Amino acid sequence: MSEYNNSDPSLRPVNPETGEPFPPTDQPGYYPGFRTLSQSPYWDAATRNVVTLRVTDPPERRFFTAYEWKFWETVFSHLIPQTDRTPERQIPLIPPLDARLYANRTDGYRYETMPQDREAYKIGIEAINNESAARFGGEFLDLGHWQQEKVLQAIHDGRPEASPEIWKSMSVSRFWELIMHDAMKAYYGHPWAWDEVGFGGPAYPRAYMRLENGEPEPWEVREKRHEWRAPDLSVSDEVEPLHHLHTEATQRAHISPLRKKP
Amino acid sequence: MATSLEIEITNHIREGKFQRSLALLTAATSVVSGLEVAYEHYRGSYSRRVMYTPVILSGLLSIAGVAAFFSRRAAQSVLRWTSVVTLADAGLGFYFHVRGIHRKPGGWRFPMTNMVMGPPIFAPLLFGTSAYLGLIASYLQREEGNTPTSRELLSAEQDIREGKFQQQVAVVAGISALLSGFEAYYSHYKNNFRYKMQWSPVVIAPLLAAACFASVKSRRAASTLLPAAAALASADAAVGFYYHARGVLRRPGGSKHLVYNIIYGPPIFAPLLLGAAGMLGFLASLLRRRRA
Repeated sequence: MSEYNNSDPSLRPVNPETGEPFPPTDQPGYYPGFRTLSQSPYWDAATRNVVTLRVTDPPERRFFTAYEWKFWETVFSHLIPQTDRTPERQIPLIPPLDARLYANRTDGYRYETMPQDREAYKIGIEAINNESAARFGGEFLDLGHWQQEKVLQAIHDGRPEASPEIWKSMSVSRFWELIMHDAMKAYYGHPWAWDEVGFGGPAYPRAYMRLENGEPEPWEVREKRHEWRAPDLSVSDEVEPLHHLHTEATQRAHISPLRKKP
Repeated sequence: MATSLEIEITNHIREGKFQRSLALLTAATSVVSGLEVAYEHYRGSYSRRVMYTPVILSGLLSIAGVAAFFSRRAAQSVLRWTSVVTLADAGLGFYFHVRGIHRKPGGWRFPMTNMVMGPPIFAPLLFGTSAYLGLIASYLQREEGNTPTSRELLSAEQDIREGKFQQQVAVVAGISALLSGFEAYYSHYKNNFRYKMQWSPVVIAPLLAAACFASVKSRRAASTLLPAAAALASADAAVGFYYHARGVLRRPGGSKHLVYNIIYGPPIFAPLLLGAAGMLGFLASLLRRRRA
């Protein structure tokens, strides 16, 4: 799917114990063997249909040109890298975005510092290419992985060097928010991402029953944490160490001393 | 060593002369089950008028029980009929609870989820336990034992009057044990059996039921197995009550938001249902058997 296939190990998350990159897997994450789609008999027909189509029939290209499609595919592969996934299990992020822009489905509101979403995705290409040219003297798609990271980091940080006229008509931070939201909506709306994060999918008609103490439902899989480090070639590897708070039970143990009165 | 008082009490029970004590016991158990149903139905927002009936009836039954303690006439009239109506209400409640589960999304296609999340299926039948005690009490003789027998009684009634209804109480105790064991099973399943202790009622309730049903066949089981199993169940009920109370207090807010935590925490009186089955088992073990 993405140009950034798994041939380059320096783009993959690293096992901190061995210092070696993890091999790509069908299902990254902490819930080995959990398949949300296996729960589909417990959903109603309409929901099951919507969710299944996301896997079997991602929308065809109708809005973007072939170049734009490839461009955003590359950008999105930096926003949510999928180098930990085998190529056939990478989640297509551009088809839902393309379908959204084709139908002109928006959030229903627009910031006054932002153009229409369709427009933003057109001039965004120009802005990113200008930034690439200013920093590394080439088009974004022709740059190396690390250079592309630096270009996107400049926009993330709100400090682009090039195309002030574009950024005058479009807020840098709102633009970043827009593409980040679209990337996340596509990724975390897909059942394979649900497998990764252990999300059980729609809770109707069967409801959740174990509502306290973070106990798993009978059909859920217990979390199995492992340590990992960001890929060596990544420029944004700041991770807040929150692992010790990863279950509600430990969170509670962490919080309860604070509750006690002196 | 049995004291003379213990012997006297045992003899009274053997001879069916314990109407006043059983009437008082009926009143006490009715208060507890009334509180339980009051807050459980409060959780259910009293969404149907019929949900008030067990709350009202348990109040009436408690009053009837106290009245029967003082008056033989009250025991044979008010207590008897209040008990009958309450038993009918328990059956009606069972019907509504089954229907309530059926009406949850997915209905009986997801029996476990909907039994856990819906109305507790056997709770109405267990609510009937105190009414059963009241009904039995209404047929007994008073402790003083000076009741004139002015008319020929039906033989079943006569048996109860004379304390010869061990098998009947054993059967009721056995059923009650099975139902409360099942309630404990799915409620604790909801909690994923987080504490090992949560398995204890699931194990002990069938033991008690087995002892009860064995007592129907065997006089020896009734005098050995049954009191042992009943003691075990009662002890477990006490432990369960302690853990549920502790669970309520350990919730955020603890005793500061006591009512809230009782409503949303572990059902505080539920373990006593197994204790009630144990108590029935004890009672059965002290009674005499029906004439062959």
